[in-house]
Order: sequence, then structure tokens, then C-alpha cells
Amino acid sequence: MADLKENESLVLVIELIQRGSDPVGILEDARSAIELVEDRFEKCEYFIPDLMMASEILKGISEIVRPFLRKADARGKRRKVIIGTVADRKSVV
Amino acid sequence: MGKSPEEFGVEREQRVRDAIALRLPDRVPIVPMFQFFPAFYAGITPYEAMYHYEKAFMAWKKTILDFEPDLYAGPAVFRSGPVLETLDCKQLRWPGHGIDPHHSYQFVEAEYMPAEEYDEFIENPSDWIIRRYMPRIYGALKPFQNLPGILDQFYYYGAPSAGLATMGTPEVQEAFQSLLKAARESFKWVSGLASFVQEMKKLGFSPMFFIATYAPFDLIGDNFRGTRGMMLDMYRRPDKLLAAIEKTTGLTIQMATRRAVAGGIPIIFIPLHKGAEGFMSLDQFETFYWPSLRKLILGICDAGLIPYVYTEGSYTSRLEFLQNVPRGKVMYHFERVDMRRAKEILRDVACITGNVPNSLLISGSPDQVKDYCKKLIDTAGEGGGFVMDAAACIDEAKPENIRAMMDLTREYGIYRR
Repeated sequence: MADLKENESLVLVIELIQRGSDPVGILEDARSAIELVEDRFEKCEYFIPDLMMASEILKGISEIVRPFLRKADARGKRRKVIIGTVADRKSVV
Repeated sequence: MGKSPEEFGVEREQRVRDAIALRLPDRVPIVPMFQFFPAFYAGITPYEAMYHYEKAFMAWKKTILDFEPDLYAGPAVFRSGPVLETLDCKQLRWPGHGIDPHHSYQFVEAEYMPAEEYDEFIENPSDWIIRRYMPRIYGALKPFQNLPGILDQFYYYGAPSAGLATMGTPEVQEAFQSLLKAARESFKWVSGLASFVQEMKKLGFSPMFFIATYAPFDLIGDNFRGTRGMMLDMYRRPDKLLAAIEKTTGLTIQMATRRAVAGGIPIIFIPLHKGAEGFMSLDQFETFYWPSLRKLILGICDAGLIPYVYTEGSYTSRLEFLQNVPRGKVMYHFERVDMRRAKEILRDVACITGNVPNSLLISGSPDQVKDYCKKLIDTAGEGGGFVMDAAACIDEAKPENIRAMMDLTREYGIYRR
């Protein structure tokens, strides 16, 4: 996933799920891959398109894995994260 | 007898031509890429500049006469508010229409072309543009999406086919009426621009360029697929993207060369957007961005015209690519670049310009500006092949800082008397 091979990553995840692998474990691995991607971005080996592709792959993996997650698997406190961009330059001072 | 204004005008043009051709001019030319600065300088709002043409012309005339650049960008950069409004343009927000009257317009990027339409575009770009793209970017032309293809509309063995009737529906008629209204307004705007150019020519000042084109990657990326679409296309459908870029390359060359008039201004403006550092890797630049851009540059040179390649963002890592163009025929503008390195690599190839930070022109002091320009002349201007300009298009800036940039260049940038 960190090498940004979308099809291979998603096919692998489908195979793992079919074999009964732990969906939470898959998501943890995906998160580690994202950290690797971020690391490469900081080292200027990866650039914005790579971050974008990585997030697309993560989205794809999450969509495959989500139906197999049980409520009990949710760990830790659930927090709300809001992502946005500045709509009006004047309001940021 | 002193020189006439027209004679000064010829001198100014020659100065810039010499710098581009890598001949030593009398001094470093100055061509600041003003955008909305003339409006602020002359005390009008960007809204007035876009909606009241006579005020726009007044602002540019005042700016040009007060600062005396060697060439000027001109009032066309303001665009016409009425034309955009008549077409109900979705791709821009401008003062009076989504932006307050005191700020310049903004480009609204979106995915106007879904990935599934690549083949349609490649097969027949004009058809895709008229029947898919225009309806999405111009609200007034939405009914064009109901038109069948051009051959289906017009022609079957000498007579217009039944498809012509689609142009007779009330909605399509209204769309054509809007187009006509916009065209009439545009004619008014362009006639005003032409008179302005004539007037300024008599006063000794010529425009930098009339014609602009796109890097082929940007034509698709800025206007059709958007940043996100384009970035993902490099991974998900590289062959399709390259095919579209190949098709677009011919179009961008035509854009540059078809409208060029014999004896007119030979400079063609090409702003570069998506190939900058951070927006793609060097490999992606080499695969997707540069080859088609190079073909465009060569196509423009072959037509006897001068590509003015206006890089934006950081370009130091890409300098070696830029070297591979005909000598003395190209001007490269830089925003953030190691100018010493740029000079090293491009000294015997192309003229370079830009780099004076806009932040300095906005909030620095005249002495700081002069200091920066002096160092720039020493590194980038050494031996010629350099034109003084800011790093990016100039909207806000303290007039005294612009004056400092102009004065320093005229006093310190002398090569020969």
C-alpha cells in the first residue's frame, strides 16, 4: 500500500477478509502504511499526488473492511474530527 | 532634438527583444507583471476595473505613464465582468459576483470532466467542449448539452438534417441569445482594448503579449479534470492521460500560433501550474508534464514566435529540463527558484525573469526592495539574458516599492551607455 499499488492492495485485502483475517488488524496495517507514506512525504520522496493516492487506497480498504467490523471492535474513545478549508479569508485573523 | 515617444517605444521593445535573444541590451529591461495593481494604484476597486472599462483603461494608462515599464501586461488581465455575468460563468468568482468588490477574481477548480469522458474528448475535442464542457462552466449555455453532434445537426447530403431543429427549441434559442449578448459585450471590451493599445503605442509603450496558451497538462488539469482528478489519473489511467495530453498538445500549439498576426507582438504567454515542485515528482514531471510542454515551446519557436514560459511555485529541481530548448528564443519566468543556479544552467540558452518576492513588494521597504533587486541583477542579470519582474502577478504592492524596483533597475542595471 505504501508503494501506492491500488489494485494489488485492494485485491490483497479482499483475499485476507475472505480468509477470515481480523478486519481491525487490516486497518491497523493500513494505518502503518499511511505513516510510512507520511514519512516519505517528509523526506521529499513522495509528493501531494502520492498522499492523495494513499488516502484513496485507505478509503477503498475501509469500504471493503467496514461491513466486517463489529461495534465491539471500536477501541478507545470516539472523537469527532472535522476537516475543512477556510471559506472566507477575512474571518481568519 | 530629443527622441519622440514612438522612438522611445521602439527602444523599449528592442531592449526586451535583445534580452530574450541573449544579445546584450543597453540595460536590464523591466516588465512587471501587473494584475490588479493598476486598479489599486489609480484608486479604483477591482469591481470597477471589471465593470467600467474606461476606468480600467485610465488605471493602466496612469500606471504605465508613472512607472514606465519596458512592456506592459495590459487591461485584458482584468477580464470583463459583464461578459462573465451574461454567460453565468461557474469557473470564476469575481468582485460583484461571489467576491467582495475590493478583491480580485478567483478560479473555481472542479472536476468538470469525469474520467469516463476521456475517450469522447480525445476522439472529438471540439464536440466535447461545446456539448459537455461549455454547459457545465457557463450556466447560460446549459441547453447546449441537448444538442446532438455537429454532423447530426447540420448536414445530410446537402441539406440540414432534422437535428437542426434542436437549435430551434426555446431553451437553446435562449442560450444562443446569451452567447450573442456576451459576444457583443466582448466586442465592446476588445474594441476598447484595441484603442487603448493604439493610444499607448503613440505614447511609447507596447503590450507584452496578446496571446496566451496552456501547457497541455494544465489545459486538461486546470480546466477539465481538476487537481485531484489529474493527480489520481497519473496512477489510475496513465495511458489515457498521455493520449489526452498528446491530443491537447496540437491544440495548444494552434492556440498560440493561429491568432498571431504578422508584425504583431511575437510573445506568447504560457502560465504553468501543475508541474511545480510538490505537485508531482520529478519522474512524473518527466513523463507527464515536460514532453508535451517542450513540444509546445518548439512549436511556438518554429512559428517564429517567443514562448514566455511563466513558471509558478518552485522550479529549481526542474531547471535541467528547461535547458533543452532552442537558444535565444525563450523567456522563463521564475517564482521561487535558486536564481544563481538558474543562471548557471540557462545562461547560454534562455532569458530569465521574475523572483522579486511579492511579499517584499507588499510589506518591505524601498531599501529592502532595492537590495534584493541589486543582488538579482548581479547574479541573474550578469551578461544579459535577464528581465526584472516580481515572483508572481502583482495585485497589492506599495507603490514606493514598485518605484524602487524600477529606479534601481534603471540606475544599476546598465550594461553599456
